[in-house]
Amino acid sequence: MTQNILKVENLNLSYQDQEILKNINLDLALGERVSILGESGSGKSSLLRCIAGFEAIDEGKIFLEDKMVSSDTFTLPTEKRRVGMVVQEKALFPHLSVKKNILFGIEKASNKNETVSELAELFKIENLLDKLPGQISGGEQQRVALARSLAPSPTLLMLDEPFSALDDELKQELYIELDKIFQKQQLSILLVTHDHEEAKTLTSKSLKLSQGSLITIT
Amino acid sequence: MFTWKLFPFAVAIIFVAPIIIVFSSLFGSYSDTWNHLIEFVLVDYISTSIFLVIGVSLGVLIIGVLTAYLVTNYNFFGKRFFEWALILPLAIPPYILAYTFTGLFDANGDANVFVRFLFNLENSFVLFPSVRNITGAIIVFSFTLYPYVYLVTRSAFLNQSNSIKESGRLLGLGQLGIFSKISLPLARPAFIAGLMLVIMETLSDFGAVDHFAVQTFTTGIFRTWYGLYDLNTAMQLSSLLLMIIFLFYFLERFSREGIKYTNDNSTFKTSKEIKLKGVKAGLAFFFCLTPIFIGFILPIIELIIWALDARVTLFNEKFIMSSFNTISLGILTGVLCALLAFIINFSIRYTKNNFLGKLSSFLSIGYAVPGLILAVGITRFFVYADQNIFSNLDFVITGSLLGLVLAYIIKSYALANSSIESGYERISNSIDNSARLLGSKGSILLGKIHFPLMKTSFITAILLVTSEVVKELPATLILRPFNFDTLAVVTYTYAAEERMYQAAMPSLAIVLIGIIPLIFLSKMIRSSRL
Repeated sequence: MTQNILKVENLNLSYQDQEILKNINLDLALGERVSILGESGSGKSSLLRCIAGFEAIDEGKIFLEDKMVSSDTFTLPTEKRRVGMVVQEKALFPHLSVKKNILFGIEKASNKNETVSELAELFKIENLLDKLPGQISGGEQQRVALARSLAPSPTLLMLDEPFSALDDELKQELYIELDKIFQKQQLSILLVTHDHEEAKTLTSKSLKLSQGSLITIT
Repeated sequence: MFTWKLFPFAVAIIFVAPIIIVFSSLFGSYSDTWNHLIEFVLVDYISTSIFLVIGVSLGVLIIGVLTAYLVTNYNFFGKRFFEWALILPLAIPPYILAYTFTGLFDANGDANVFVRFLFNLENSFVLFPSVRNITGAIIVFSFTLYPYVYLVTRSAFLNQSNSIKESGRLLGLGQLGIFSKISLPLARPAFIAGLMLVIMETLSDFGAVDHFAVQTFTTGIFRTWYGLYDLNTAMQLSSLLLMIIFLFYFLERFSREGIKYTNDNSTFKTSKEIKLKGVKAGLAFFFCLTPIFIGFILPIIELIIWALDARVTLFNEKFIMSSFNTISLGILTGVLCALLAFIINFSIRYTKNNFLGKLSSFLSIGYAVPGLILAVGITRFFVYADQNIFSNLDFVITGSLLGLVLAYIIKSYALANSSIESGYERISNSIDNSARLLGSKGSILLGKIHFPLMKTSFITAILLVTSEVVKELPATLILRPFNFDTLAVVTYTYAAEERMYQAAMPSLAIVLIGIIPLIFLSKMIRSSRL
């Protein structure tokens, strides 16, 4: 039986009487990669924020690995959900070196140094480990953000338009590398993007959010 | 063009002369007084100053950082009020809080009398311990100076993008972890810069430590000069203190450069405030209210009670004259400082000379020099000028208002400069180019184009300097002409004679004028993302 990593049931979310998400239903199995397309303001990022626990939902339920994490009366704090998320602005800690950024979520793990080395090799950032985020390029920062989010071994990785600030050449290069990494790690991926090409390259299934409702397109 | 380049240099020479004169004493002869100081009291001065600085640092960091974090990241009852009210204690100079504290907490102070009355206790019962000691001084400085830390730290917290905190949560951090591992380290350069200012202010203070009879460098300098009549040794002692203060001044500058990394993100996301409820909301409320109560409300209530009790002599001639002297001196210094800063900043812009820019920021160093040391340097400077330059003329400048105004200008130039500098940043260079293409240059560009555009900054500079001048005590005490009183001097004199009721009205007037710059600050604070 395929393990269900994420299950969203009849999710509704509104801000100040404006419906953002309407009756959303979504399932994601272990290793499955799904993209969510949609115009700006269609609610894509809000959906990821609900799954991450940054937003309390109005109606419905969210399950992570069969455990209920959100309902209209309950919101499990983000830090207890074990999900990874990478956003466009990267959000690296500017006062910490690249290595310390990656170590941040696994400080208590016994094999933390090995994990950092593996991820650094995987994302080709070995020579950047001692640098501060402000000293490396945008593409390199994005690799570090990805490595950092994978360090605690999340079962679900959410990507919120992570490549939109990068140039085309860099994007293509990253797509190929990431495709290999995602396959190797059996990661479940939820990718939010407005780029059809990106969705097609990195995921096997695409959904579209339109006016707060989710529809399957491939 | 040459005149515009020359002017800042001429100002720099006058600003630096008293400081150099103080330092030059280190290379002269050392008297018996110096040996006496070294042998008996210098270690006390140093150890007391270190203990005072450590205690005040801990106090301002705990109050300033935690209140800044609470009002920036959480929503609780009173939060909007606390955002600006937490800067109110800045209007109370430490010496005024010290006077009200002794009036409240001495054995027969109002607080102890009130407790005895409330619980019908004997007259010998004393609940509050004496504050006339170093612990009292630490409390006074902590509750009057913490806004320096609060202001810069709050600005740093406001500039931390929500994305960074959310990343921390995704990586397993709770609220406490976000504070200790992300927000606090990111704000470190900011609160270190604020802390350096607090340390400089603490080491420079004379009024509060003198009132509490705490032996520090400044009380030592004052006693060496006015008690032992040894100006040279006072200057040598001043040099030691000045070196320590300059060390903190440069540390502050260094920390300020580090602030940059807190707002690197071009895609800044404002943090969502977390709503506090129940006990947590109550604790946050009381934690924010306490410094405002102790640092502002309590002394104001006490001063008002004293002033009302002394109503017979409320508006006597002394009060009216000292108010007039204070306000005239404040406005005069404010106008002169604003003019100097305006001309110097214009020179930098007009000549496009980077060195002049550095020179202008160097002139701000006067802010760090204790008023007492400026007074020492200026006195020696003027005595030298009277003996060697004006000896054949029919007047002397020592003991005139000139020295006092010069001390105020050197000490307050940084305030005027910051206001004028930010005003100039808002005037596009293309305006200068257009004016120059139309034939305006030099003084015409300054008077007809820049001045009308800079009026608000100019007035702000005058107000900021005036409120600073009103509070200045040690320089005024020493440099004022004979029989010339200001509000600060009158307050000091009354307090020294334990005539607190009479000291209340001038103290209230000082606080009232000190609130003026806070109105500007509170306007900025609501939208203070850098």
